[in-house]
Amino acid sequence: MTLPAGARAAGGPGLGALAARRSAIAGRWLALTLESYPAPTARLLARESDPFRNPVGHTLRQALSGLAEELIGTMDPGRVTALLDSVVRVRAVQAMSAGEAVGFVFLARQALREELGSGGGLPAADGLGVLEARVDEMALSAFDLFMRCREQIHAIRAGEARGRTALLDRIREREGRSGGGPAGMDRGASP
Amino acid sequence: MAEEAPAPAELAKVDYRPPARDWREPAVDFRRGTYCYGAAPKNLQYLGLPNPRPWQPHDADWKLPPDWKQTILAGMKDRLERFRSFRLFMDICVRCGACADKCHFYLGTGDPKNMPVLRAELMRSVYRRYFTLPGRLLGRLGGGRELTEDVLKEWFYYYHQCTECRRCSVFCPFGIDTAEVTMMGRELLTLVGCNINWILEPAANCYRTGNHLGIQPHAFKDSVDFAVDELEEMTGIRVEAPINKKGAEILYVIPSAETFGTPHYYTLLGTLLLFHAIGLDYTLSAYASEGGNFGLFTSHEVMKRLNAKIYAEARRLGVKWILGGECGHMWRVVHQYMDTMNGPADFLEEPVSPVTGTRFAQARSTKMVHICEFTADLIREGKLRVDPRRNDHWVATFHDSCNPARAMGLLEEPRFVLRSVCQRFHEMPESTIRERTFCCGSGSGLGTDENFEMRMRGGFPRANAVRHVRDRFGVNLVACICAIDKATLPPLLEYWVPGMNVAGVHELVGNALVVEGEKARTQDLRGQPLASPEAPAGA
Ligand code: SF4
Ligand code: SF4
Repeated sequence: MTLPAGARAAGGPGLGALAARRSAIAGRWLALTLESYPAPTARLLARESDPFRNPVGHTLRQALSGLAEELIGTMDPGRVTALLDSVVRVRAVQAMSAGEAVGFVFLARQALREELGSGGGLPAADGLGVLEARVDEMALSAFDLFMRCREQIHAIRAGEARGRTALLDRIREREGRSGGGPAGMDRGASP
Repeated sequence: MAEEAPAPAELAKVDYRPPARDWREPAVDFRRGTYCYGAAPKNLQYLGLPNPRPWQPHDADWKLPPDWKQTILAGMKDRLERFRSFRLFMDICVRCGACADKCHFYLGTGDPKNMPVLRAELMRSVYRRYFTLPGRLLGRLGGGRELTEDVLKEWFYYYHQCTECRRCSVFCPFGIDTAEVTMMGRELLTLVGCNINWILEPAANCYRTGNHLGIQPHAFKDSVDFAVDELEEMTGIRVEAPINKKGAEILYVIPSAETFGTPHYYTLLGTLLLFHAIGLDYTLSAYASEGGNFGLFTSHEVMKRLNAKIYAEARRLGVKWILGGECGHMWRVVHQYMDTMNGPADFLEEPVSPVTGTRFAQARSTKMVHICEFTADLIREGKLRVDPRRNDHWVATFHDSCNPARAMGLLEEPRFVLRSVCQRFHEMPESTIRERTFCCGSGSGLGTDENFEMRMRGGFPRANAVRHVRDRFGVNLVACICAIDKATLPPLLEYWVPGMNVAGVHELVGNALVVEGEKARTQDLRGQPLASPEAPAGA
């Protein structure tokens, strides 16, 4: 994905305006994303800036701000992936469908339109088109990351069950027993 | 990043989804990954609990007894009369909201019913409807709510989304302890047979064989012998680890996971070495082979029964006092409930350290001392030789496990021990440690794999602070003193903070401990190479 040289280089036409609006775009994007949470939660997530009192809100804010910068900046693949991962990782375990979990990326389109469509200094129409294509690119990565998180969840769950009685397996190995664990133990569910 | 927060006016414009539902609507969506399975009938039968039958929370029909509603209301009435705290907690909340955003489940799920104030309100509304005049007369207008099957299901869902960690109580100006409300909720659910298997199976096993996994005495001995052998291979020292030794001075009670799980096992190695180094006259017990008490998550009655085993064994073996290991809820039970349940333990002596002569006055009534108190005293009195360089491969932080920290106030001792045996130690942010520590998200019997997603949500605030010290100081080890933490922090951190290790405090003690007659250490108790291996003696 390449931007027109003018939009990519600092000080190029339109970019000054874009950079100045970055924080407004990120803020709008955050507000739209928070819609997927119930009202009192959305208020907490938006309001509390302490990263430890509000880990989810803080993660969202940091990530969307960084992603907005990448959208109108260089789209550095390493940074984009790390930022997307921080959000997707949270949403992959929250009560959402896959679509909802990664859908926040598409809200950037709306944020861009609302913020750039209204204010002055709007880049040329194809500038916005390029930005929207970048949003799509991000959404695809977000979906990959989501799938990776879900796979990881399954792998950790499986490994957890094995690890709980790791020592018993070692004892059994030493004693050359063929299976079933030491005599007299019930391997049912247990912490 | 405050400048990026949307302006309030802007937020007000937002049309939030899902539509703000009245919180009094109880219907719950039992989505896989977010709830624990129902208890198998055999476990209810074993404990003599009502309504054993096969069932699952996602079933439409929970096969409740026909008179379930009267049973719950009668149970509530009984408990309102018996436990003053319960009535107080039902009556005095002013809905100031100070607790609202303090629960890790609320922070991780964003579900408003996980705000402690609303969690308690789920029960309070029923209390008002049936036990207060305005509620009885005005129903919903009086803040009351009808007890329906949906309400019962909602209780089940949200009282198993509370780890009874008590963090919220630290922030409540009235000291309302929502954990106690949850405990009442679970107790009432138990009256109609709505328990989870991950709690009742360990409780039943513990009742039968003395520990959560149902390990019988000979298998328990196998594990301890294995530890003794391995310790000898590592250190060249053969320790004694007596089991059921009558007339020993001290009974040592561990969480049973130290005999079958890792990383718990390394803590056992550390304590066995420690007791050898100081020549302690102690015994383990194959009967009191479990500190953990899943009765705490079931009902007062079951808690009392399981706790009584430890004291019965202390009496049978004729010890003077009891030392307890790195266990979480064992300490909550001992510190908060033992004395009025099974105590005072008059037949035991007030604990005195045989090595330093220190009198543990805080344990005068329960006669039970925490291993961190015991070791901290040894170190402070200069009775241990330690070489903290042997832990140089670790950059450690300390996770305050909820029960020792908030239910017992054990804050400084583990830190003192850690700083003495480990050169590189960094605290997590203040708002996430000590009394304000964040729960692992899997406590109180919720650490089962079918509940994995909920645990990842609830554990996120904890993991987030761990990530902070990893990024800032290069921390690679979370030390803790709770068996549930040792089981559930590794998967939690694997998801949120990959590469992080988890260890017991006494594992690090065992690494650093310089014991007479030992061979040069090149490895830690996990068999990992030391940062600077020691030259063999005389080399
Ligand atoms: S006790 Fe812990 S888990 Fe339960 S409501 Fe309070 S903060 Fe949440
Ligand atoms: S802090 Fe205490 S009084 Fe305030 S809402 Fe919470 S439980 Fe009620």
